[in-house]
Order: sequence, then structure tokens, then C-alpha cells
Amino acid sequence: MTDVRLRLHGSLFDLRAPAAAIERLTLLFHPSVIEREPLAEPAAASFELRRVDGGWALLRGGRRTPLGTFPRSIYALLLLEHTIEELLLERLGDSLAFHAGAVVIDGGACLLAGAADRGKSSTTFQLTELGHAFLAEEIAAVAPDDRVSPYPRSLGLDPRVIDELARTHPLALGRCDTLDDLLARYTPHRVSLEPAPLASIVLPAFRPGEPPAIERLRVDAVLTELLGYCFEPRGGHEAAIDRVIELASGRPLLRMRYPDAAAARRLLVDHFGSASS
Amino acid sequence: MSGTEPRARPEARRYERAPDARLKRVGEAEAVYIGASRALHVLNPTARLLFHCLDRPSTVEELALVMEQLTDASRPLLERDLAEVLPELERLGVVQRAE
Repeated sequence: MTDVRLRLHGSLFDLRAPAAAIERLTLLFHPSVIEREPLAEPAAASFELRRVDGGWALLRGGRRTPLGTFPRSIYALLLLEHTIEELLLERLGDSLAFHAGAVVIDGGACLLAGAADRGKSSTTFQLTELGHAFLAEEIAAVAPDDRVSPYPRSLGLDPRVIDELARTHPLALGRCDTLDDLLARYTPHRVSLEPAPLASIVLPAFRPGEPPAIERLRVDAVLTELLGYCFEPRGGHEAAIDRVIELASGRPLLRMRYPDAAAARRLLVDHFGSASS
Repeated sequence: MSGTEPRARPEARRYERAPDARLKRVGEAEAVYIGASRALHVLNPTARLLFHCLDRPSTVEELALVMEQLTDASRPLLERDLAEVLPELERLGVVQRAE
């Protein structure tokens, strides 16, 4: 068994697992996997991944009942990822977390918020492949000083999106690992591990059959939608409203409609440019 | 005859802001947050003006008089608009009948 430690949003999580499973863990959380030093500060939670009859069980430290049992280790690790995200959301303090990805463009954080299947991960992926530093995936937390905290984990993508784009633009700035027919993980090479000031908010909208466009939005027109992408903060629902208004006012707020990956890339190059060009 | 109070004529009803309706500035617009229902309503221009005019309990007639001085609209037109908007805002919990 091997012991590793994850550092995410300033919190530590320990995992004990067979070496082969630890290798797979780095697919999900690279570069957040760090050495576990003796006498280091205690972890927020510890987990164990254990071989059992018929597969793999994920246990939370000190508990006998597994959180889940799966035929493949990667699915147990996906449950670990989900469990850690729930714990992180409980520990965000006064930050407001969006269901969003984020990249750093010209020193400012571009938040890509949206519901599942709207294209926030694929847009984050595309901007990363255009050379902008990856900042966060799935949870983008904005601190009281308006800076977006890094959440360095791999991006969960539909393998077909990567294949579609790779036909014209082979992956250059990250690595892709296909986990199964429906899920691939993209690990970007260029990752920002420092918080970046929030500069813009983009709402990707995958709309097959519609012409590609980026339109500027008024905050009052999308306030309810934006609230739907937030995790309720410690201060409650009204605190979330006040904070979303504050964050979205005076910053570019954009809707990006695109019918396919190639059109999305053209829009992103036109609007944000390519950091690698 | 029942023992209930006689119903007020619609034009004699007095309206006021709901006590838990809180006004929020949202860019160029304004919205009202209702704490009890956790609902947020972005106000259209008529509702926005109406909400500001309801700084004290008022009837439709009184509101139309004040709003006439603040807009180019005629009082009969305003009274018709208010007769539509007020019940909708009441349904949403933004305004309520005054005691």
C-alpha cells in the first residue's frame, strides 16, 4: 500500500491505496498529489482504497462501511473525487463557489459557468489548448477579495469532443486519458497554482444547429441563471445573490453559443486570442 | 347577511411593499428579493417605478397621481396598468394589501 496526500483549496486529504491505483489517482488530481511528510499538519479527511471480492472499495478513515464498491478502481477514485469536492464546498468559508471551470487570460481569471452538458469543461479544455493557464475545473471559488482559487484537477470530457478537435488540432498542451467510452480526462500541462483576480464570466451554450456567436449579457437578464450555478455560501441565499450581483456587475459577462468544437475554437481564438501564438 | 367585513372596492384598496421585500441594484436594473420564498424578481420599468412610489400605503388612484407627475403617461392609462401590475406583484409577494 502507498500513502499519498492531496492539497486542494488549502485543505489536505490523505489516501492509502495500492500503487497501481495511486497512478490512476494522478490522472484525476495531478498536480495536487504531494508527498506525505511525517509530522506534517493533519488532513481534513483520510481515505483508503482497498481490494475486495469483485473489485475495489473506498473507505473513509476509521469507518468500516465502504462509501462504495466498484468493479474498477477508477470508479472508486471518481467517488473519492466527488466526496472530496463535497468536503471542500463545506470548507470554503466566505468564498462563493460556482459550478464552473476557469482559466487565466492576461493575468485575469475567466470563469466558465454552466449546467452539465452546456460545454463548460470543453470550453475550459479548448482555452487551455490555446495556451491559457488552467486554473479550475468543476468548482471555481471566488474569495472575498474577488480572486478565483485554483482547483487543479483533470478535466472530465466526452472523448468524442477531444477526438473531434484532435482531427484538426492535435493535443499540444495537455495529455488525454480515456477512462471508458463516455469519459476521458484531460490533464493540462500549464496550470496556475496561484489565485487570479476575476476578470470575466462566460456562459458556454452548446447548441447544435445554431450559428456560433458570442454575445454580451446584462447581469439582470441572467442573474437567476447565474444563481443556479452557485453553491449556497455560508451566508445563505441572499448573500449569494448580493455576491453574484457584485461579481457580475462591471465585468464582461458573455454567452458563447456554438454548434461544434471547431466553431467553438474559432470563436475563442477570435475573442480571447491564443496565448501560444 | 354574513358577519364578514364589506369588501373594499378595488380602487379603494391600499397597497404597500411587502415587509420582507428587499430592493437590489442589478446593473442598470433593479430587482426585489423576497426572503420568505427565496425568490428574486427583476422589475420591469412600471413595476420599478411603482415599487419606489409605494414608500407609504397607497391606493391605485393615489399611485397613478404620483406616477403621472413622474412620467408622460396619462392617469387613466396608469390606472389601467396598475390594475394589472399590482395583483401580479401581490401574487409574487412583492407588495401586499395594507391594513
